[in-house]
This record gives sequence, structure tokens and C-alpha cells, in this order.
Amino acid sequence: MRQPRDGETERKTMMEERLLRIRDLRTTFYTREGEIHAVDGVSIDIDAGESVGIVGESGCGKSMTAMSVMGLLKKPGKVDGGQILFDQQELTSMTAKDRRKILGNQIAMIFQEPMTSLNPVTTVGKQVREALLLHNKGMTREEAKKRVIEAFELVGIPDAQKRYSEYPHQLSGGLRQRVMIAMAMACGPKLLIADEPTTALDVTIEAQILHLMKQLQEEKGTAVMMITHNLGVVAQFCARLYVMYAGKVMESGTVKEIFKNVCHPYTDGLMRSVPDMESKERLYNIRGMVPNMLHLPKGCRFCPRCQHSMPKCFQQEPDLYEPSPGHFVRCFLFESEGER
Amino acid sequence: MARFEQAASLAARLAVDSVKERFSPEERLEAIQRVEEEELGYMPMPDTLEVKFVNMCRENKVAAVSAVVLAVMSLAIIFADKLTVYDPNAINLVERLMPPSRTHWCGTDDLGRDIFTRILYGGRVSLLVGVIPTTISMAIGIVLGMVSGYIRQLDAVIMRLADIVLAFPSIVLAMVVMYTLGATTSNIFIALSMIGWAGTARIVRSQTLSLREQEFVEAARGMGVKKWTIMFRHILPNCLPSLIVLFTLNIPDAILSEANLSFLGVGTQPPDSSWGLMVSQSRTFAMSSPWMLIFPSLAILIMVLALNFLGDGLRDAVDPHMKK
Repeated sequence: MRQPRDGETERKTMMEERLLRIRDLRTTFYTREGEIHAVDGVSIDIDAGESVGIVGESGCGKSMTAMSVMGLLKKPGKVDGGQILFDQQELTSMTAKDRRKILGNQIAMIFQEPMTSLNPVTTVGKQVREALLLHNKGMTREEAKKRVIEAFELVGIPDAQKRYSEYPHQLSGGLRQRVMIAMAMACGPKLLIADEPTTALDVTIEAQILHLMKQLQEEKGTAVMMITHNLGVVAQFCARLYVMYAGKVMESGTVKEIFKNVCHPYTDGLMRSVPDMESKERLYNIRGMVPNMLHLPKGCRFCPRCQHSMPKCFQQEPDLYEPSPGHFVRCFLFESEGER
Repeated sequence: MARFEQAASLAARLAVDSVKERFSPEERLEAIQRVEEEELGYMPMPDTLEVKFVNMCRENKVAAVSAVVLAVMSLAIIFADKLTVYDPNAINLVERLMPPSRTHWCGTDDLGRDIFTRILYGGRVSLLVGVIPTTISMAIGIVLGMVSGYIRQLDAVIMRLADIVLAFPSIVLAMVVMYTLGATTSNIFIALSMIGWAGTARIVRSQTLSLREQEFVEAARGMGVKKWTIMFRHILPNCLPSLIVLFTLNIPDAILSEANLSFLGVGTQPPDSSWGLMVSQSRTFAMSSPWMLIFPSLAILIMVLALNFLGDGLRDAVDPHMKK
């Protein structure tokens, strides 16, 4: 494990302000064709109350990182290395029973598809109530129902009383996602993992949902891990950003710093792929495809698609370099700026 | 460019005018409200099971008639003592082997007992044998099927057990149980329950396998919900439509199995009657007094057919893919 360099980070670690500390996480899928390293040595830190974005193309391992934290990996996937420290508790070695106490209570998750992440044959009120009763032993059903209706009102569901006894298919996508947020926030978690919470919604609803999440996050002081492929969402929502590619973190830093001073060619490509109203030019796209995770290229994983690739890139994997304090890049272009 | 915009705005104004001409203000308001409702996501209410049942009766007349027939038969069987003046087991040798007449609607058997009365009373056994073992075997099948589908380590064990039961001729298995435990009505329940669960377990397992991959199950796990709670609160209710149908299809199976067991002499014991037993006892008189054979057989036939038609109708009503 690398030691943090500057005094400030060190002090922060000493004060144990880090809510979530992922260190060198390795998640592997043992398939018949071979081992797939979906998450390959990822380190992510999230402070209490902080919103952190994780960005990347489909299949870059961002969802798998979240699933590893939640302990929801399905066979043949397995966490086989690294640490996940949540609130000074090691999650990877925890028993299923202890983990269940944390899930939903201290870490909650919002899924991408609000259409399918609610049970179609149970009323939405009951589903949220179940979550509440599960983690609040001794709470009566009436009490829980009142709390659920309050939660519905908090997330801006109109007619909360009536909506309580409706089934998921009677609600629109936006309302369903609000129900999911109400469910996730019901027990007042310290960390909220949002796995592309707005991808399945249209743009106006997306803005409303993001606004709601931002508001709840600020009011309740919940830390948010926002997994998305939409840089606009990140710019709007997050304070810090991790860019992932093929199971590795390629660039990380504050959103301000990265948007001002893009370093990694991949992040640059992502940013240039966002359509611009003013520009008359053809929309940029990163050439090539995400590599097959079974046969990763030698050297830097991005080099076959990179415009700046040098002979060195094909030989050897770059380390994390720090072009400016707190801004890390996994690219040889910044080698001279000093190794972390 | 400017001319194009002009043309566009003119076209839009023309479109608005034509709408105004064609529809009254009320109609326009209604249309707007309809669009608003759609946009706000008020989707049409889904059909509840009762609604589905009523729709089914409306569309599928055979199923509706079957439901009525079943209701009448059940009531007749329950209130048997009110419908007949005869004692089902009273022997009356003077009136033995009488053909159907006004006093004996279905004739009498070789001991002078009224066959209509015996069908009503025998129906009690047949109906119980239809409902109780089916309920027990389905309960077993549901639990084992869900465990098998959700807890994959137990899958192979449970499914091989089910394979053994399914591969064995069920009537032979039931006979073995009846011979070992003795021929009483409660043992019939046990025997039929033991052979009936495997089919249900298979079906529930396959549904569990697809439901467990759904996101709402993952979401429940993400909320820290326990395995068993997920199985019974999230997966089971989603299997319910097919289980209702399976229930109506399993009942006739059980009735026929009891009839077979009774026919073979290991089911219901005389002087009690069941439909199967009555058929079995009539065989020596089948040529000379055919009513002894015909009427109990008809009772079995009508009930089984009605249940099958109802089951078919329910399946069509519940299954969204069968809708036209």
C-alpha cells in the first residue's frame, strides 16, 4: 500500500475521517474461458458527506466496484484481494449476517432500472416499510407506515398517502426512482451508492432526481458514490471524480481540477464526446472499443485507442503520477511530473 | 431561413385552427387531460385476480360453465344429507340391482344401496382426496422448489430426489405406501402427497431461477433482507398466478389416483364409498347392471373435465402472453 504523501492527507487519515476506504480492490470472475479481472487494484476514498463520482464506459468495472462493496457479487465473481474499510470495519472478511446489518442501514444502494428494482406484486409503501422494520427492531407497523409516508413526502412524491398503497406499475419511472430513493434513505444511511440512477429516466426527470439527491445529501450529510457514464451528472453532482477504464482507475481528483486541467487522454476523450450546442464540428468519439477483459493489451490498457501512445505504453503499465496535488493520472505523459 | 420559419409558423397556426374547427372546447380539454394523465404516468389499473376471473368467464364460456358445475357439485356433496332420504350404507336386499327409476335416480347396487346417495357421500372422500393431498404436496413442492432454485448448493440434491419420484410410476409408489401404512383415508392423503410434490417443485424452481436474477431481488438483498424473507415475501408472490392454475390441474390428478388406488383395493375401504371404489365394485355387474358403472364414472368424468377446463381458462386469464 502506498503511503499518502502530503501532510494534509496524512492528517485526514489519522483523524479517520474516511468513511469508505477501498484499497487495491481486486474482483475476479472465474469463467470457463479464463479469469476476468473486472476490478483490478482499485483504490477509492470517500469522506463522510462527500459526493464522489465514478465514471467510465460500459464494462469498465464501475458497477462491479459497487457490487463488491455491497457484497452482492454473483458467482463466478469473487473479491480476492484488497481491503474495503467502511467506518473502520473491514467489509471483505465480514460474515453475511454482520453485513446484512450494515446493508440498507448504513450503506444503501439505488439501482439503474426503477422499472425492475421494485417488486411488482407488492405495494411500494410496504416495500419501503419492510426496509424500515428490518433495521429498526421494535418499531410498530403504524409507526413505520407514518415514517414511510414522511419519507415519500420528503422525496417529493405527491399524494404520498395514496401512493403508499399503489403497486410499482401504477407509478411512472420518475416516481418509482423517487420511491427507490425513499427506500434507500429510509434508515438514514451514511453512504449511498447510486448505480446510474438517472440513466433510465428522461432528461427533465433526470434533473429533478439529481436535484433531489443533492438536496437530501446536503440535508442529511450522506456520502454518495455516484456511478455514471454521464460527465454532466458528475459536474453537477460530485466534488471528486474517479475515471475508470478496464478495471483500473485512470485519473482521479477534484471535479474542478479535472474539468479545468484534463490530463489522461481517456478522460479527455470522454469530455470531448459530450455533445456541444455551439460547436458545428462532428461529435468526437474515442476510436476502437473497450478491450476484451480476457485478453487485455500488454502495457497500458488504453494505449491501443490512445492518440498519444508511445512505444513505451505498449511495453509497460504506467503508474499513478501526480501532476498537481490531489490529482492523480495513470499515464506516461505525466511521468516527469513525479511519481506518487 | 426566415422564410422557412414563417412557413413553419403558418403551418402550425393552420394545424391549430383545423383542430379548433373539428373539436369542441370540451373535447379539446378532455384530450389535453388525457395526455396530461399519460405524461404523469397514471397507467391503467392492472386487473386484480377477481377482475381476471370475471373477464375469463366472459370470454371463455366453457370455463364459466365449469366453474358453475364445480360449485353445484361441491354444494351437493357438502349438503348430501339434505338431498337424499337414503342412508348410503344401509343394505336393502329387496331392492338390489334396481335400474334407475323415480325412487332411485341412479338405480341401486348389489346390496340395494341407493347409488345417487352413495355418489354424493362418496364425493366427500373424492373431494377431500382431491383438495388435501394437493394442498400438502404443493406446499412441500413450493418450499423445496424455492430452496432448490434460490440456494444453489441444495439444488442438485432436491432435484435428483424429484427426478426419482417422477421417474417411478406414481401409482406403484402410492400402492407401496398404502400397503405399508394400511389402507385408511388419511394414509391416502400421505401417499398422494408423497408423489405429487415433485412436479410443483420443478415448476417453482424454474420460476425462482428466473426471478432471483431480477433487480428487485438484488435490491432486496442490497437492503439487507434475509434469504428466507426474500424467498417467501418477494419470490413466492410472483409465482402465485401459475400456482393457482397448477392447483386446479393437480386436483383431478389426485382424484384419479385415489380412484385407481380404490380400484386396486388399497384405497378407500368398504362400506365407505368413494367414486373410484364404486367403479371398482361395479365391475362384476357391469354387463347386467351398467348403471352401477356409468353413474360414478360420470361423476368422476364431469368433475375432472370441469377442473381441467377451469384450469385452462385460469391459465389463459392469468398469462399475459395468451391475451389476444
